[in-house]
Amino acid sequence: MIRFLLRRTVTMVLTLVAVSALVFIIINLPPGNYVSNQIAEMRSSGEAAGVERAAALIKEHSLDRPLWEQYLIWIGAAPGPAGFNGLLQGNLGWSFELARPVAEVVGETAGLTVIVNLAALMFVYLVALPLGTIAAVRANSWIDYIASLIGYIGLATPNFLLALIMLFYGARYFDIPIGGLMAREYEGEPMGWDKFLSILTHLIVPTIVIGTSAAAAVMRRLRANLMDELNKPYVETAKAKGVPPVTRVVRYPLRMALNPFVADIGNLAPQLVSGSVMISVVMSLPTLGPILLQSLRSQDIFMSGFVLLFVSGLTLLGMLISDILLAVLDPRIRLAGREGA
Amino acid sequence: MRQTPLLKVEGLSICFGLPGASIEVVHDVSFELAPGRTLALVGESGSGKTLTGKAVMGLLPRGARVSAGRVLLQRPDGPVDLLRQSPAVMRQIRGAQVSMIFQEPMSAFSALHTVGSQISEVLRVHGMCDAAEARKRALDMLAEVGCPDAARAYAAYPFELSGGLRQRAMIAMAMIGAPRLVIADEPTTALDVTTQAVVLDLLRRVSRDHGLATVLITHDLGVVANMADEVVVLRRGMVVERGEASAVLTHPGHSYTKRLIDAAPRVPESIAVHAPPERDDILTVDGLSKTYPGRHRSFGRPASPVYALSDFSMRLERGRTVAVVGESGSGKSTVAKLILRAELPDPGATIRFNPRDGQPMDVTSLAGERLTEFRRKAQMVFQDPFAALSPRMSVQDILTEPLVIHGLGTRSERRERAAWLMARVGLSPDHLGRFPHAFSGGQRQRIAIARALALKPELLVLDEPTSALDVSVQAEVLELMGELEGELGLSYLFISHNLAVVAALADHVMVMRRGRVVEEGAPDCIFNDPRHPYTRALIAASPEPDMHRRLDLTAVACGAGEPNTWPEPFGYNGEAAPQLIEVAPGHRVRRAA
Repeated sequence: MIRFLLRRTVTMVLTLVAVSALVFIIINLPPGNYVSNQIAEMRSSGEAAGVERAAALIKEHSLDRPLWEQYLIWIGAAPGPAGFNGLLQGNLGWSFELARPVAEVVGETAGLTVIVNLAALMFVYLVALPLGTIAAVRANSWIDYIASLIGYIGLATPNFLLALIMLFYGARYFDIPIGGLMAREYEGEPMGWDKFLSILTHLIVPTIVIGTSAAAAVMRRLRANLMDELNKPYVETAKAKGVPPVTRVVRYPLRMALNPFVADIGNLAPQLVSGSVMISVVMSLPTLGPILLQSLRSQDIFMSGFVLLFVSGLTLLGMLISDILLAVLDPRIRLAGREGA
Repeated sequence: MRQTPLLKVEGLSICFGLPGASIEVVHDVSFELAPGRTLALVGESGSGKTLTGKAVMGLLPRGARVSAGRVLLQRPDGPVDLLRQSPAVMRQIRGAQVSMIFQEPMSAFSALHTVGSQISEVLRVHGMCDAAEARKRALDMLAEVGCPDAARAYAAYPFELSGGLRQRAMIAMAMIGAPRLVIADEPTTALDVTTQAVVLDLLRRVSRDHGLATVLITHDLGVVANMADEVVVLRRGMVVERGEASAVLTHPGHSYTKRLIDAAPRVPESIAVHAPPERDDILTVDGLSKTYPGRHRSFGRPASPVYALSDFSMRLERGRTVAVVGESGSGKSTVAKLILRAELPDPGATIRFNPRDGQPMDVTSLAGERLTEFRRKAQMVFQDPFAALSPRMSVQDILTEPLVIHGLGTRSERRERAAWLMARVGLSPDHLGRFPHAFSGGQRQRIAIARALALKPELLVLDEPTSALDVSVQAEVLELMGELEGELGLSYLFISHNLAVVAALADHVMVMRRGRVVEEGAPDCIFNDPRHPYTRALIAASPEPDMHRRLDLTAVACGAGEPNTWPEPFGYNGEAAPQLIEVAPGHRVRRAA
């Protein structure tokens, strides 16, 4: 088991390195970057002083070097003008557009993004697992139809519309705060109990909005999977042993039907991040989605590069977690290498 | 005086569908069973034998319901009708008083839980004892059913055990709640012949020791002859005959029972000796081996390679049949794959195919046009006619598809050929427009054979062509293949796990074990004068519907083990096997000189 973990971790690190190279190449694929665009703009309007300042920026961030050197300097594997000073050393880079270090911009946002996504993920599984199970066990009964109806509505409603509706009615009837992830007065404050509570109440609507469609999809698939499993001989065996109905479903077929969803945890993370851009804009959530969009538009390369890498890292972490969970849950995976008898 | 019956089934009828529009599949079945006795419910697929067994357990599938009758189980406080108990009461009865042994131990166990936890669950569910005691009793039970290392079997997952051990564990699970009635649904059908013999013996011993009443559901009259005290023969949901096993098997009263007994494959007692004719070999195989590399893992040492087949040689004479017989893992299917070029053998092998007209072909090096030509001349018939035919193609399309692929004939010629093929395999050409699901298993296998014949092949590889079929149908299909062989000048390579089945068709039999041929020869040598302990074990393990020929377990035990447990001079020394030695003309045995 320890060997398995070690192997997976090494693979993950190697993948992350490969991904970082890919990310860097891709964000440099379109011609130019934020600084060169600015220089071109200033040249045409004849601002000589600005051009000089921008040229200094290019020097400072080695943007005049060949791409592979730029990459090495970015991740901190080669010395730049200020020596080894890249991602490995904890310097996330400089945002040209905002004229602030990336770390400063992203700092709290990255944490909040993780929190929103974790909440959405938990919501997805907490809602989908019981509903999907009930729908499968009581297939073609009124409770199945209602669960399906909710599922279809969740799948079919555009998220931003759901967001607007929920914000309106939430504020009106339940006094749920509108927009943002915390009350204004806590922004920039250190974390404390009150701030935490404020974040929790602000989380309710975004979690539901972001998680609903994913929950609906998971629910439909769980229902189909579980209905297959319920007809398997080992369920009949359990019945023949006299195992009571609830244990019979939860202990055997449900565990079997869960595998694909555990394997999906890694895939859900990027979906939730990219899918929540629109929601974040509509609900003015300080998450990474809008920042990524804006930095890609303005070719703010270090900014977009870091955000992309961060999301990839989350994905890989999710996959590592699902690999470990799968191995714990399913002996067929855990013992794949062991000799049979 | 007869004992009071433990189980009494009276006028049981089961139907599918809603009241008013239902189809009755089990009709007015009655029988009774005393403690310590074994009753066999015999019938072919669709006879309702399994449904009857499941009705007793209250395990009828969705859509099926009991329309009439009673199932009375004798309990200390008087008889109870199992069909009219509340779900909660039934839960108390299942596992504790009535338990079930299923056909496929692999799928009947959950793959996610250890065998031990699944066995001891019976005790926990019924609140019979605490966890520690349950574990102890499960270990004792595993030892009792003959697991060599009970602690290991307890901690193992089902897929880590061999088929025989899995079925032993299944029996332990059925026995641990100390039930008084066990329903065994085809308990050995999924097992190899030699394993079946041992497991049947175990079942007999366990039910005798615990004074159990056993309902044995089976299609195999050979199993019945070895196990049952009483027999109920079912056909299309109705009892056609009922009585003491010895009476029914020796003097069947109903023509259907008689037909079943006649159709069961037997190890022949004497076979006419063929005169050695001039040899015209269609297929010559020499030094065929196949090694699969061990699975490489990114870190750690690779697993050792698997020797699926070692140094296999054979001659197949034109118009004749060679049968390759072995249990799972013997390498018999590998032989078929290599000869048909589905896979390439290890270097150094020669496979020569000698078509009637045209150049001999070296199968291992064929490519392009010549390979296509070879594939036209060598065709395969698969085991499972349900899986081998696409459910979305009409029979017409199935039969003409090979012709279309090879670009043969015009549209109307292909239609004519399809009609001819249908007639030839004994089906009506009027049914060409139907889809496979409209045909029975035997008819589907006829269609699969017709498809294999579409390209006018010279060599047919038959991979267990009848093992998915009912016995009576199996006999018919074997007969058809015998006719076709003579009429169309076909040569067969017949692959089977059942020695008795090949007896009727084969001109030469090769017995395989663990990738090697251990004995080969004409059927009369193999059946009348088997020399190798493994061949003897196979013959001894074949159950037959004859009360006077019971399974000979000493012979099975002597030959069914691993090759290095065979007695001298047959044993292997590690990986090194002795040579095949000619003991009589054409009869060769793997043994030390």
